[in-house]
Amino acid sequence: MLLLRRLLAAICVAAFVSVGSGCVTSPAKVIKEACDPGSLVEVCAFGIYGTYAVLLEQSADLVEDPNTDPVVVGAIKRFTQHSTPTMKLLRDSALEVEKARKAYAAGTGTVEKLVIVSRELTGWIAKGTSIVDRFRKLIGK
Amino acid sequence: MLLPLLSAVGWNALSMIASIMAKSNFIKGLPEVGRRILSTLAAIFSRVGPTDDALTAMLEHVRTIEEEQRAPTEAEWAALDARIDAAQARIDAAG
Repeated sequence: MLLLRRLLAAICVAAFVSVGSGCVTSPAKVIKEACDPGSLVEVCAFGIYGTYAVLLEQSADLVEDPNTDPVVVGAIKRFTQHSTPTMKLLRDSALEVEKARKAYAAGTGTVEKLVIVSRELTGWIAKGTSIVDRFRKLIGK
Repeated sequence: MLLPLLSAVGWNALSMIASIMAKSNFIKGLPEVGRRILSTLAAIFSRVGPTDDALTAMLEHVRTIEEEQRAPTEAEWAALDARIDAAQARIDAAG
C-alpha cells in the first residue's frame, strides 16, 4: 500500500511538472498567436475557429467515454448546441471580410464595405474568444 | 523544440503507466476509491496528449499562414468545418 501511494504521488508530481513546464500548447497560446496585432483579422478568426474545433473534438471523446459523468456530458451537449452555431457565424463573417478584401483589391468593392465587415468580424472575434475560454473551463483545459 | 518533445514523451509514458496500473492485478487489493483515482488519471493522461498535439498542429498551421502573409483559404476553412461538424455530430449522438 505504501509503495502504491508513492507511485501515485510520483505520477501526480510528474504530471504537474509536465504541465507546469510551459511546454504544452494551450488554447490561449494559439489565439494569442493568431490574433497578433500584425495578423489579418481573418487569421485571428481562423485561429479561434481552429482552437474551437480541437476543443470540440476533445469534448466528443469525453462524451463518448462511458466513464464520464452524465452531468458533464449534459453540460457539454448544452454548451455546444449554442456555441457551435455562433462559431459558424464567426466563420461566415471572416469569409465576408475575405470577399470584401478581394473585391476591393480587384477594384469592384469599396473600402467602406471592407471596414464595415471587418468591424462586424471584430465583434464575432470577441464572442468567439469568450466561447473558447468558457469551453476550455468547462472541459478543464 | 526539445521541451515539447520531452513533454509529449512524458505524457505518453504517464498515460501508459497509469493505464497499466489501473488494469493490473497489482491494485486489485485497493479500495474502490484507489481504483477510481487510477482510472481517472489514466483517462486524463491519455486525453491530454493527443489534444495538445492537435493544438500544437493548429498553432503551426496559423504560423504558416502568417509567414505566408495571406488569409486562410476556403479549403482551409472547409477542413475546419468538416472537423467541427463531425465532432458536433458525435456529441449530439452520445448519451
